[in-house]
Amino acid sequence: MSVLLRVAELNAAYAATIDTDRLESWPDFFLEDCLYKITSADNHKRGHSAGVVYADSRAMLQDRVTALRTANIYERQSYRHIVGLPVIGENGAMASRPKRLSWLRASCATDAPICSPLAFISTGFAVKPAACASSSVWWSATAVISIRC
Amino acid sequence: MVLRPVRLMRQERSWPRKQALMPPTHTLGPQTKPTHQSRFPCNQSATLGFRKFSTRNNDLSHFDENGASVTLRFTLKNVGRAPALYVWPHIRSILQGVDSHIAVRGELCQTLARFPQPRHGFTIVPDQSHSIDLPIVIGRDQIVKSVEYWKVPLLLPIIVGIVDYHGPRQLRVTTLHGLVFGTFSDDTPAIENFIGPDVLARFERVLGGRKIEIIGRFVEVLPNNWKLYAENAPDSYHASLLHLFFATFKRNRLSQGGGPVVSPNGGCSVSETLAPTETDDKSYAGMRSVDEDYNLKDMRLMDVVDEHPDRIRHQIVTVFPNLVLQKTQNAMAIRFFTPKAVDRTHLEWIYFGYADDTPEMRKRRLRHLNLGGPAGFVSMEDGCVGGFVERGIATAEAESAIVGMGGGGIESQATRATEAAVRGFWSLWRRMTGL
Repeated sequence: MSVLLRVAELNAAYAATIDTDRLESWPDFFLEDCLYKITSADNHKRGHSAGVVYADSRAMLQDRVTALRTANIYERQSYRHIVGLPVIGENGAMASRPKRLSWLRASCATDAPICSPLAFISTGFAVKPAACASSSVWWSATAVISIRC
Repeated sequence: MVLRPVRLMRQERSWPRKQALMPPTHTLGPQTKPTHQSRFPCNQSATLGFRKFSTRNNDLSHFDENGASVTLRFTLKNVGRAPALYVWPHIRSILQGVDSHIAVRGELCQTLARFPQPRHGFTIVPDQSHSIDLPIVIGRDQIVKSVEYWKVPLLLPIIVGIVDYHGPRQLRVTTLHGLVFGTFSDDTPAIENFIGPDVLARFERVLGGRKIEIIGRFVEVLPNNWKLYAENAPDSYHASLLHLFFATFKRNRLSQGGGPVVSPNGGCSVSETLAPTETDDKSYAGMRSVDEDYNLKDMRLMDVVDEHPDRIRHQIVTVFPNLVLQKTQNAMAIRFFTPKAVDRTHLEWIYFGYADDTPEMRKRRLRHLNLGGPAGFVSMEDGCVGGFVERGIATAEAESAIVGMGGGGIESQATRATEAAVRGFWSLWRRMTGL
């Protein structure tokens, strides 16, 4: 299978996991040592490092799901996923990130507040590492996840 | 028989003058809105935002006498939703000579690449930096005429004045540890006096003598009247009950040390929680929120480094009417909120660290910020509970409620099981609005 198809398949599986509320399986898409950050295009542009959600380990993502299920109180949520067709770059192509972010901003420019405990949006951007064992490695290494608030 | 529409009698609106009574719910409604707006902003200092830590000064960068126009460049201080334009008085005279209603629309400046004002002959071109430069282009003839008319020397900077975007009204601005406060009234006391020495000391604990660095800004839309959030923030009692995250981990309970400090005017407060004395809290046994099997998989969320010589782990400082300074573990944030409608409020979060943070400490702050913010493990509930309250009180317009926990006064107390700070907020709001 081509790299493009494998990444697209990974994105689709990721979105389906959330759409079908199998949130307990969602952290498995990430490496143990990962970075998951929800931020806004504005914060990204200004170089602010904080996120609405900031997790730098798979265990933190698992804690997010547990808190969502058992501890937190919130208005009922429904999620909408936006998954773009992946663009496969070569090593060092991470400079493309800002462009993807601006694309994302144009796609979901809205004044909707971030009030969901978890928000899942993928820009569908991946960089092909020199040696990639599995598709999940790419994801955890390169996922750019952002929403605009 | 003809059916006629029945005209409802207007209900008697009253509010018993006891501090322990919350106001009737109609004070949240539109009926009293004109009263609030006419009385409130005039004698109150509202938080405007962070002063930009910048070495760039307001300056007259170039003054082209040869061209057909003159470009004046100012720095627009980004102070929240109402950016203020700092100008020299003689420049202001010129601008007012050209047009007495110069309006700098802060939000437009941020969203539009170019904001031409063809009628007045100047153009606002914001740049992409954090502070906004405003090259204002004025026809040379107009300048010359203005100088002749106003008889002011052009190149003599005197003091810095402010034109805000409401027009010619002067906004009085002061800063406190980098926070900008503003008021339209000459009667507002100095911010240090308004806050009071006890609460001021808590400001200094976090901000005093430190250079801060902003690491994130987010806006959260609250589906409720601003006062419901304003009374939530200083309330030291609700955290252990509403925010089940800490309770689930047996991390925060009312018997833990701490208590509210309330300023003499009632409007400013500090709520503090001390570090627990034992690691495993047994007093949660039997509470509905406790799940013995539930443990954090990544304990770095609770990996606290004490940065101050005290055992305070959570500190919430509130300043009437709209400011919160928060330090939760090693996460620090400024919150300020703006009413957008009777039942809608914008809550702005500004996350910050110290400029001299080590990379490890900065990472720790980023992790701990998961506790706060719009999706915070602990603050998430505050974003929806105001909406729950609005729905709950919709049918009880003329009713009052009692906030009598911890007595009826607004004094500082040594326990967190008190509503003293909530009563303090309402008592000051009441004095200001005269309701």
